[in-house]
Amino acid sequence: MVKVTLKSAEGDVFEVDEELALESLMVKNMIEDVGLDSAISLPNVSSTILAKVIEYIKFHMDAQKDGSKKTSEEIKAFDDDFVNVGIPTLFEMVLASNYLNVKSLLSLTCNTVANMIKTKPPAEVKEMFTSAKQAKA
Amino acid sequence: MCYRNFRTFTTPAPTQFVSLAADKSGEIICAGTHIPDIRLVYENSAASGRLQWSRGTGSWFGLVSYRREVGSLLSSSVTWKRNDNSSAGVVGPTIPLLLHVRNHCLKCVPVTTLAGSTSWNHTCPAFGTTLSCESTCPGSVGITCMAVCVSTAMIPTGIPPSRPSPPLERPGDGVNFIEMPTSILHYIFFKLRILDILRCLQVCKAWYAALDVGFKSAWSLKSREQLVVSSTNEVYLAEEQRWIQCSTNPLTSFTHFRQLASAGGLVLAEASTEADYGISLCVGNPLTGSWAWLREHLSSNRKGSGEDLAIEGDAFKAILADQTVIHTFDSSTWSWTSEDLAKPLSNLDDYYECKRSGYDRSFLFDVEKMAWTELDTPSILVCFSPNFDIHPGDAPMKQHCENCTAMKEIICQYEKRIRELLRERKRRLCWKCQNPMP
Repeated sequence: MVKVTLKSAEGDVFEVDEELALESLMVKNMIEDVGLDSAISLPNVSSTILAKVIEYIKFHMDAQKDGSKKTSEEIKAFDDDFVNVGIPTLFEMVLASNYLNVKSLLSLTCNTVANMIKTKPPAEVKEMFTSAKQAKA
Repeated sequence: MCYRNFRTFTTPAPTQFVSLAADKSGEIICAGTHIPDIRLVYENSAASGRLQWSRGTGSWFGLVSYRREVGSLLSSSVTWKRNDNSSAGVVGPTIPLLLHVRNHCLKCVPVTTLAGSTSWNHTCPAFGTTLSCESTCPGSVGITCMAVCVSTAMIPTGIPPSRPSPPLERPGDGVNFIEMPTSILHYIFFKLRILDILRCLQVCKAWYAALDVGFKSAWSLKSREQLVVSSTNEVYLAEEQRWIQCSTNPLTSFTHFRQLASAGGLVLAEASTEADYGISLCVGNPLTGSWAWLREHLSSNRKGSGEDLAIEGDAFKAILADQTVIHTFDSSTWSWTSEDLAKPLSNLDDYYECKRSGYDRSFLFDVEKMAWTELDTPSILVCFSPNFDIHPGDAPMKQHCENCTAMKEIICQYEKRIRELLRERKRRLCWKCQNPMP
């Protein structure tokens, strides 16, 4: 199995299967352009987020493989758990999936955000998203 | 009525005509012929008796459409001919079914073909470019397309480049959704229903601006449609010049659908369903496929009418104008109100509607009376004027104003501007016949 080396913003190196890396259209294009020899640098994605994205892609690839025992409930449970993170992390995951062009993850994270917005009054939405900022700062 | 004057025109070579178009005054008549490359068109000025044949672009002309105001001739699977004889053309591969030219501007013309593809052609005379975007729905035959015009001001010379994502801040620096790139915000907003979208407008300026691009059509009045619904699973955002795929066909439940106006991601349309006889008004979000029926109020004999849809907080208002009455539907009370006008209108265009943001007040400017009337309609500061070029950009103020004094100043400035424009216009053109004044 060919390995692809991904380099996060901090400089941490992740080695992943090529098949997995190709799930990201952005990485796929990079591989087509520069080949597999050098590490692919992803300056917009931090190590923690990149690890999460890889975890997500890996789980879903396994789930889609033939002979997978995973039921749709299990997949859903994984997804729910996966996005059950703080707003700052969720924010970064949205940006990262957009940057890496991983459609399914972008859809999942955006859905989560949309669900958070649903039925809430504007003030609450604003508070929810800005307080996340203040808490971090 | 009786027609007694006939003239017969013939082609230089024997051919079969397949389409015909004439402008209102009958001065120019165009016909499409069946033979490729022989061509269509005669710009015949019946008055001068001049007959002109011009060469085609290699396809035969299934449809011809002519608008005098624009001085353009549209034909076939989209060939353009302008009065200056320069022709920019996009030749479609299939037979056109529907060619739709509406209102004053011919800036954006949809052509629907038998193969089920809809082409949009934008020409921007100022820049001399022709843009076309196409959406195809394989397999479907005979789709229709509601549509469409975009004013010149709205047409970019190309597809606007998507905003690059800002560099991602490191954890700890503080990040929030308020600062999301617009494209991602749109992605999120598309997953929301109408009321949630309307709430999002009120969250902050950044979101408001983001929604403004495609959803919230501040100036989607009359000739400036923002959202266009096609009977394929698509919705067209005119301003962004792109189609959005809906998960389900927004129009499956309708047997008849004609879009009248759009604003804030909502569409006002006259429609009917199988279960229902007669045509009724409905308002809905084509992206989510939710429609609300505004029953009881579509008299078939409205004349000189205008339609508009406006968003106001969590509610929307549908406005229908006839010659003497303005009917307003308010979704917060779910009822119609009618306002009689003192004097018949020739059409709604004689009025300037001024909406402003932050306040639930809007104003109509009556050109004949030179006076403002306050309406309780919607949100954004817009002067609505198909004949005059007052854009929201001209607005002296786009943000909230603190009190009514400021409000008055705005109105005064508007009025001044309109008076100026009126003076200019009067100097240049006759009000009625549009001819230059001696």
